[in-house]
Amino acid sequence: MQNVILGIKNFFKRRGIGFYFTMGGVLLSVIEVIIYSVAFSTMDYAQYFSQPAVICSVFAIILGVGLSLTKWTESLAPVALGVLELAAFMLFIKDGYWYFTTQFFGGITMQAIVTTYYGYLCSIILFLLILGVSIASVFLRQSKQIKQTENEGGNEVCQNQNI
Amino acid sequence: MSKSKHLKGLLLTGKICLTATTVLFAIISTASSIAMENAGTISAFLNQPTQILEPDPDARYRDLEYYKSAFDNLSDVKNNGRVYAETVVDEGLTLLKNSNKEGNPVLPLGEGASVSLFSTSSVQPILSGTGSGGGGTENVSLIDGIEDAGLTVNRDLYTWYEENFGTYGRQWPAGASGVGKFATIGDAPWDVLPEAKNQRANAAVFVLSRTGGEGMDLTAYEDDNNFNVFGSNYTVDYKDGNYLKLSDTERDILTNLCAQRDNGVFDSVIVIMNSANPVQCDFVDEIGIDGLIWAGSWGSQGAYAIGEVLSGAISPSGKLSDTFWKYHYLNPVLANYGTLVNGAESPLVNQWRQTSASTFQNAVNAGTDTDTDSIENIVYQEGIYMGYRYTETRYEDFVMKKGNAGNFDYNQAVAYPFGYGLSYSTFEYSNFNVVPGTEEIDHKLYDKYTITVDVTNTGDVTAKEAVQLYLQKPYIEGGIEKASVELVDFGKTPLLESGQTATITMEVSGKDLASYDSYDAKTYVVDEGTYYFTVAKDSHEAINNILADKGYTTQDGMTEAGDPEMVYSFDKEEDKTTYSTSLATGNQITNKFDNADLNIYDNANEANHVDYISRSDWTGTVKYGLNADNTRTYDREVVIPTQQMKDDLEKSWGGVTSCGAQPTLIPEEAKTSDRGYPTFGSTSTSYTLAMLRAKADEDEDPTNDEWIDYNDPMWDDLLDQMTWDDLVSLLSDGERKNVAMGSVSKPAVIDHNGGNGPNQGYSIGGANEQGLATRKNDSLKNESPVVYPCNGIVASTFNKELAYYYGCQWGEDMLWAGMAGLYGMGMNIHRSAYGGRNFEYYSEDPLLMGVIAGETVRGMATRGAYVYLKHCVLNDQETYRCGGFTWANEQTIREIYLKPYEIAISEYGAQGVMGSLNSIGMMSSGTQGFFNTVLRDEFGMTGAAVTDTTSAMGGNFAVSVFTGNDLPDGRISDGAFDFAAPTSEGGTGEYGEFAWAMRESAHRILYTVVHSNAMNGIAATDKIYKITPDWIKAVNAIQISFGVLLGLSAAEVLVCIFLINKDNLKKIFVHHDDEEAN
Repeated sequence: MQNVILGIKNFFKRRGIGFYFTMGGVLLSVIEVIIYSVAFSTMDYAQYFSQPAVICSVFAIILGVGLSLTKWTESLAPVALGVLELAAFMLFIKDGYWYFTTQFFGGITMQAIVTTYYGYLCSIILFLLILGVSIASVFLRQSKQIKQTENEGGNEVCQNQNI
Repeated sequence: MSKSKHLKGLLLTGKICLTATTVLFAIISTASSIAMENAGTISAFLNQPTQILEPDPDARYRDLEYYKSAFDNLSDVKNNGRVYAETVVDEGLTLLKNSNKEGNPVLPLGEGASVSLFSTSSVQPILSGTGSGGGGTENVSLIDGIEDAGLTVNRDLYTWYEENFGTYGRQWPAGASGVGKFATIGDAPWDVLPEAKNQRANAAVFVLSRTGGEGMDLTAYEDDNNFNVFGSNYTVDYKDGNYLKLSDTERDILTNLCAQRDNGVFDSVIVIMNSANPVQCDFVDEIGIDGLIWAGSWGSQGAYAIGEVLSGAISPSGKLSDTFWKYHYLNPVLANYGTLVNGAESPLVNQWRQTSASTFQNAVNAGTDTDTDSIENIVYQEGIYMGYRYTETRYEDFVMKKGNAGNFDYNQAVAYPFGYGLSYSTFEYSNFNVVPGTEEIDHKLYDKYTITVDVTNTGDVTAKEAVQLYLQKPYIEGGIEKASVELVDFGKTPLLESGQTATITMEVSGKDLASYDSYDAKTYVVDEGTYYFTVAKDSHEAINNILADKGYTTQDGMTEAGDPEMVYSFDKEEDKTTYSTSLATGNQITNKFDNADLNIYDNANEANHVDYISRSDWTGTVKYGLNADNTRTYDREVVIPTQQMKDDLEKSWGGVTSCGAQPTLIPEEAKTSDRGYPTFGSTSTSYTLAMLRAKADEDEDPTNDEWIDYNDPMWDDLLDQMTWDDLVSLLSDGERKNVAMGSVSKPAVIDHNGGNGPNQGYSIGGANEQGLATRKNDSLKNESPVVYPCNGIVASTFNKELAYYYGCQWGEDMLWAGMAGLYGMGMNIHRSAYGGRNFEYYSEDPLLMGVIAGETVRGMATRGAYVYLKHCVLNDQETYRCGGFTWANEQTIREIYLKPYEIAISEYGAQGVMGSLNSIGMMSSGTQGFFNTVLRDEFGMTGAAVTDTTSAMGGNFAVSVFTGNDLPDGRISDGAFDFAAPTSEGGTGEYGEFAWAMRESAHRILYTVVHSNAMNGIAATDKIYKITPDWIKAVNAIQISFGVLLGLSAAEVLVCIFLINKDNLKKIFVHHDDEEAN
């Protein structure tokens, strides 16, 4: 048990700021999937709902977490997250733009903006946040920079070649 | 810099580029996808051709201009437009008051008279309305119009108003030029006006303006939410929240003007009501003005007409197309109109009320009144008693002491009755004669009455007179509701000089004697009893004539005596069969709108029970929405959603407003039947659409063409040629057009706005070289038609011939613009004065609207222009116009709200309609089915039905094709029809009947197009092909370019990663090789 705790401690100990950005993006993606699915499950808005967008987001979450677990793939995690969430966002726009033409049929007015359905506003804000976070994460180190050393057996102890 | 650092720098650059190109590629791909869904609209906007015509040179010897213009150039077209825009106001402008305190006329002023124009509106009057029916920018100023008539204008005062309009004139919230906006009234207070206000003039002319437009009704009462849209920068100056009442400033100015008149500064005070929506006329006697003229929103040329009427160059001959109320709060319609249908204290002002089965289910579960601002019900509780049908009928019952009419004070309610209008001359009617006869229709004889009356100009001024013929049917207590008078025909004299007489002939069909029995016979019946015809100068005079004929006098409470000499009465026996079949089609007529009668959902706790206004109990059934102080009564129809309603909602195949129409909700009847699927892409014939324009004509004279019948077998062959892709393309892309079809050589067609006249630029059809303006490369092709006046003014001309020629001019505009179909004219009823779009609609009277619009349609057809009469049906208010549930009984729908459509279609050949965005009962107008069962089966409509904007419907209308919709006013996904595809097109073949319905829709569209100006220049042997517009090629190129950039960026990143890790990889591989060697 202690080894597990120690392993977890070590795991997080060597994580860089990029990792936490990625995880932040993953967390936002989870929230986004929940809000989007709930908000658009009612028949009023079901016609604007994009199932592929949700599938993309779910894959983004799985890959964002999964790829972060190994040092060989951790640098790909924010890329996968960003690309899949971008695709999800675009699908969201494509299937939902009719709503905007309806909502803003009379022009982009304050009244139209404040009466915009919460599902749209929240989803857009979350998508933009996720994209921002994941793009930033691509340029940040996923693991801390630790000087490369070799143990007695000549095996690599730690490397942080954030590609 | 080391090699490693250099590589890392390149890697960073590559990552930035990759990120940027990925994002851009995604955005461009999505935008491209959306653009392709709306390709037709974008092509039209960018003026890019979507078709190519391959002309047959051998056919060029013949005249291919099937619809000809009367003009050689656009300048002449526009000048003719100016003539008609002015003539209509000349004849429609209505003189309502013309007497000073002594009872002497104050108008005309006479040439050379001086006037001072008052109000900021005098420098910026209302010419049209806002939204899709609004006009352009051409404008003859009022001062120019008045001076042109030989009057002199107080220029100092006028200039002051011009300079200070920005400070005191009406204001609009930011971005308020489009739909759904209020304006303030504005005006400069008396105290700030310059000394020029005291300049001596023959008349002070005050311009009283109000505006209206698409998307928002006018405000009838005080409510905070109504005014939130203004924002804090605007001061709302509606008196008691009532936009159609004088503001304090206006009242103060008029009071001061009357005081100045009494002081001798002016001889008279004249008000020109510049509004399509009548302002309540309580002020006329209260303030004591001398003259009142209704001029509506008078278009670009109306100022000339006003000048001519003021000067006396012409005598006014307009008659009111609506009742002008003294106090609007006394109009029972307002109990269930606008936001007054909502019981909340501050209901949101909104034109959209889309809802769904799930939202509705929540309301059912709550079991309370639907004041949720998401479900709105508009109950036509007044039934047929709307406008003069209410005022004159209750008045008659009041005089006759019948029907619990109560203490009805006609003069308190009505300032000027329907049909009222003064002249500078006087007319006498004589020799009123009715000749009963018959007419043969389809080998059957029907009653027909020919009515003549002599009209003599007994005054000194040359003038015209409009004669109105009214009918009274016998009312049997507890039976079918009947108004005391109904307009059944009208005519107008030519200009009559003093002493000259004209005989006016009018005709009434026996069908006009029938009433619709919603609950018993469920068809049109003629009740037993005494019928009355009378000619009169307005609706009130009509009922007074009939009352006089019945022996009543002013002693009985009549407001004035009637003339029994102008009445013809006769008895009829009950007849429940003659008019139970359509005279237009021969089909049986029976109830088709039972679902719209709220009483079918009557439940035990008295909710959802409507007591329609009945003349058997006026006091017990009339509701008023407003008190005398303009506060709300909340006395309205309350609707509580029930499970049955919700179940019926789901049966409407996809929801309340068509928004939710989904393939899974397609009815069983749409499945494949024994006849299987229609044929697509047949090559056994090679017809072009142009070949079906007319029967072969040896003379090849296009004016002698005989149409090929709608049911001719040639159509089947042509439709068999149509490919599935072409069919889907036609039915999915209809936003202000219908697309080209290569398989049948159908040209692309422009269908466009507007509700009270063409308002698109003359270059609108330029992309595909349509329209004379483009073909002739006319120097004015980038201009727009003149601004036409509101349709209420057209109706108030009461002049059928003028309406016909007016239609010819609209047709000219469309012919030159390359526009075949008009999204218009507006055919909803002026149910109340507060309708935002009343400027597009004609009247409170269905016959007047149907006939005047019908004549205009007939005129348009001479130039190959067709119409989509809108918005069909029960879409008579802007508030909740989308998704609001409208409720009315069958009689009301047929006798009032569908009547103008029936007249225009059956009697004048109007081809198409635009649907409405409201629900009829629990069914969307598109899926209710009446397009087929009533408009086509009963009225004989042959053309297409287009939806109102699909952007408001969520872009999906596919299912409603099965119930008679043909085109979306928008673009829906091609995939929306995939469910109905035949197996040969990769479909399941499961919905054969739906495919047949789609084919029939195409048939209707093609039949309309082939008889339109869209065929001008196209020979029967010409071929038409669809082409890819340049902008689509450009979008594809951009998409590919970014795809390539994305690939290059990705390659650069991969190469850099490889080079940076080369050594590590080498180590791994070397280490691995060593291990293997060991």
